[in-house]
Amino acid sequence: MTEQEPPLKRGTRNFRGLRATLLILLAVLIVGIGYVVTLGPVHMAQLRAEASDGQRALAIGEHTQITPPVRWVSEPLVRDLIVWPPLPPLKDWSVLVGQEPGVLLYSPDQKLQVEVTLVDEGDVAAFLSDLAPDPDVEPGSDAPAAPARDEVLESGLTVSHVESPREILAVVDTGSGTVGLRATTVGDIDLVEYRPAISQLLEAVRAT
Amino acid sequence: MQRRRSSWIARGVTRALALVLVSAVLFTGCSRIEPAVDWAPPTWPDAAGVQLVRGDAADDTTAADQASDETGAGAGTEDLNDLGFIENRVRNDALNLSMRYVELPGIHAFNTRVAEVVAAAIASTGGSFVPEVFPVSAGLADRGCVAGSTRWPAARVLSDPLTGPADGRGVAVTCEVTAAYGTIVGIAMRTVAGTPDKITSDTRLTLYADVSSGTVTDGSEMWSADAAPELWTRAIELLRREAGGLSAAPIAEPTKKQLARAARAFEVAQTDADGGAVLTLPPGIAAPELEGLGITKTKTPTPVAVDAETLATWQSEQAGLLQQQFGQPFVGLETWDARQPVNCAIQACVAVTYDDGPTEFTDTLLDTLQSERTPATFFMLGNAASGRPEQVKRAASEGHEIASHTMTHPDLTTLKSSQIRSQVNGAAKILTDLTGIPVTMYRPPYGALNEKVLNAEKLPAILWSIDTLDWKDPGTEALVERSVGVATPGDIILFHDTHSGSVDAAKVVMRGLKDRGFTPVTVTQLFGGSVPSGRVVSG
Repeated sequence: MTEQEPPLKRGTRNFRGLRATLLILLAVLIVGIGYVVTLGPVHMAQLRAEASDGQRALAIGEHTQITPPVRWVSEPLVRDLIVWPPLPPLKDWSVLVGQEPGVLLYSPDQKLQVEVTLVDEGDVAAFLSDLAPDPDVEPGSDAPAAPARDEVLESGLTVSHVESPREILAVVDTGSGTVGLRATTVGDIDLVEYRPAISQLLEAVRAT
Repeated sequence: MQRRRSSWIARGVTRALALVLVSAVLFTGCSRIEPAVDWAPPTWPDAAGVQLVRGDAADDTTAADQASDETGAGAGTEDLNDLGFIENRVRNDALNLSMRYVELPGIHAFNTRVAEVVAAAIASTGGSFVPEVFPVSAGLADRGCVAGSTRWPAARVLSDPLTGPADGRGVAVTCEVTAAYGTIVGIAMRTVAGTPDKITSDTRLTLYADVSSGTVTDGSEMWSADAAPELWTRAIELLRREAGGLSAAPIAEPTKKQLARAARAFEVAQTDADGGAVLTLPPGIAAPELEGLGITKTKTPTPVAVDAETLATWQSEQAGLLQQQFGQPFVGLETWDARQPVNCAIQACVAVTYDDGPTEFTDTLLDTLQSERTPATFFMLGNAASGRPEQVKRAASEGHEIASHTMTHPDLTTLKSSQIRSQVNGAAKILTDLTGIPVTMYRPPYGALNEKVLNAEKLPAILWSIDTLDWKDPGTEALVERSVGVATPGDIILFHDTHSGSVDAAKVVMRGLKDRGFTPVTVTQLFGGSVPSGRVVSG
């Protein structure tokens, strides 16, 4: 017959066990929350990545869409909310609830990536002015920014675009909404080679 | 018991957490779509066959210096300008006019078209044309076409000393060799009027001559009806891409005005060694596709290189026939002949004459006249001609004028009428028998002439307006001063090919006359083919 522990000693032990469990649960919660706001959205977006068949349109907002060419890869757009190196950036977790702000497209070779979002009419100028700086230009230099180029697409829609050696920003007015595209290449690949591909994407924007 | 349960719970949660995390990472990794290695970015459509010429290749001063290929086909090089064209240059400060043009020996149809361009340029000045000459420093011996000049900006044609009028305003005619292969030679001509600040007119004409048949094809006949619209569309597309355009919208059909601009590019098509061509669109290109890209109107010419395959689809059937010879070495032009017609109403003509030959120096003189491409008139003695028949024949075969200087060089005013006729006509018969060409004039020895002589011999008696006194052997410098330094349009200059000094000075004299703007001619050419009868001193 086992001798029973004194009640006081038994209570203390139970408290330690409970504390350990709570600490572990807290750790799980912290890790979980950390995952949700850093890697989770990215992984979720990747889970939803799909290759285009050239026919299916992707909604951009309620009234506009884009139909990526065949073999282009699309996934929900995940934005960085806060960037604080060396820690991983805080990600926009709206993708986890299906409320992502747009679509991220990759060329089939995944060397060109294009963010496609809806741009409010009043924010078009701000969107086009948010160009990545030219790495060959001294920061703070007085070199004037190149004016936006305005064209009429084959689709009949109008597009305004600006560019730097590393990035092209374009806005397409569909009449039912303005679609913004931000195209960049991965690494040091020349954006010039992908201009026809970017043209194809611009032509693929439509009102729904 | 409690302790063991808490420990078990902690371990379980930890393991579950780890399992979830690892699973998430692995599963996510597995779900990535791999990049396609067999995919390449698309290219702009219709990119092949046509491209803009930029950078050093578009430099107007260098584009025309591209060497012709080994077969001699090619265009616009200095080598082509040395093919044997008859090179002309007219400067007229009174009318603010400068003209550079070439003629093809023996190709009448071509030379007629050139004469039309020249006449139109003169007429456009609105003034009365009288040939002018200038100091030797004017350097007008540099004649003929200027490589690249038909593709220069119009303002440069007027302002450049090589092509423009004296003060850079007025009318300028210039030319350029655009092709030379097989029996085909292409010459582009351009007439620009205005000032460097305001061009009032800029027209071009390209002529293709078949030197074997003598036929001439206008450049406008070389291209199909689709050529200009196609060029326009391709050029605008290239300009759009160069300006950063991203639209895939097709280029709008060109308007009539735009088509006219595109057509001008074909007027000065410059063929290259590979059978392609550079077509240069003039400044002022405007299109709605370019406006939003910051190009309201192009400010400089737009050269477009077209490869042979594409060019062939734009050419007419006539062009196809001519192009069959492409790649073959150019057969060359006829050897220069002094009989080439000269219009002394436009050119400042002067007749250089040589008396008392032929002599031991005459062959050297003929060599100089051939190299300088300058005609002369030889008043030969019958006795001398009999002793040197080959030189007489040579002078005649090269187109120089042969006339009588009597048999033995007597003072005709001391002879009887029958003796006068015997002296003049005796020499004329010898010369005619040797050359097969009738003698149509004579020069009385010493210039001695009176009514008796004029009544005895009805052939025109050709004297002179400038006597260089070369028989005194004054030296080259003096001979040049006495001839080049004092000549005026219409003069007849007297030399003797019996003096080596006169023959040695011939090159400098001819070059000096041309530097002043003169065109040396024969006596008959000086009078437009119709020498007046009686005593003739000058034209």
